[in-house]
Amino acid sequence: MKDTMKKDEKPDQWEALFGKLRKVEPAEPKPFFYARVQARLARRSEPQQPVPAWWFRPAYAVAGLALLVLLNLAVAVGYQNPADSPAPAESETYDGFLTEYQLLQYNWDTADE
Amino acid sequence: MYSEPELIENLKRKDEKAFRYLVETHQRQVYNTVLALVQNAEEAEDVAQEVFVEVYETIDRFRGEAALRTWLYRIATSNALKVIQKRKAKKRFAFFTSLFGSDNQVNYHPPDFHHPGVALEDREQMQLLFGAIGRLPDKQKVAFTLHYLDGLSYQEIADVQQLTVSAVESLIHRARQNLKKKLSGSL
Repeated sequence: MKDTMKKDEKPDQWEALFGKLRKVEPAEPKPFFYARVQARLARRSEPQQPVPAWWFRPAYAVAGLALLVLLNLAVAVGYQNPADSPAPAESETYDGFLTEYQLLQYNWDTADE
Repeated sequence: MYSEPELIENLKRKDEKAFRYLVETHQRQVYNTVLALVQNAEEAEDVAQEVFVEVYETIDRFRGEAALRTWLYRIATSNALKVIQKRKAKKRFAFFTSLFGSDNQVNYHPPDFHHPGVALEDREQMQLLFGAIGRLPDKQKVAFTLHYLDGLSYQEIADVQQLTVSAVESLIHRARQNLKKKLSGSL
């Protein structure tokens, strides 16, 4: 009997808790709400800086595209033959680095002598 | 004072008086619905303003199939959910960036929400309840909030969410179950 009462009580407790939400007083937005909505609308209707008409002329589009193709071709041709590329600078090799900075090369074979 | 068809007609003609009437009549309803969902006063104010701007700009597309109030609820809830989604993305991003940061802390923590209309003696309990509502899945959150806070009937909620009444019943039932699970340890 006691258990059934407990089971019956639980849902009512939850419903009572959720029901408290109905008693929550509505909050008020800050004063001058309408003025702020109007300001937002006014900002929205401000004309955007138009894109200049010459941007859309076909000559500019074709020229831009041609430049892009030309650059791609130049890069492709430039990297096709690696033999043509300049030799690495002296400092890129180990010996070159030692020579350039006037460092003595450590000789592992004669180190213990 | 306007009748609804009259108000809609005037809004379509971009009549300022009609728009002012709409805002002043519904601002409280829209603000409170949004506030309960986003649980942040500044964000709620921003979303509420955006709702009316959207109404002004899209009133031509309003075909009158639902009541104006229902349409407002629909715009308000969907805009509020967008803000919540953005916030979640921000939180995920903050967590991700924190993995590489020096402090190793999640940077974005929304503060606990205290609804200004809650009675003082219920404040702690309601804070926990609002926190749990905030963690419900979106559809459940909207249905539950519209029912308990806005006092909408299942039919009205079905119109707002564009669902059947039985789907709304199921959403609210699942929301209750989830809330009980979430709160049973802390209340």
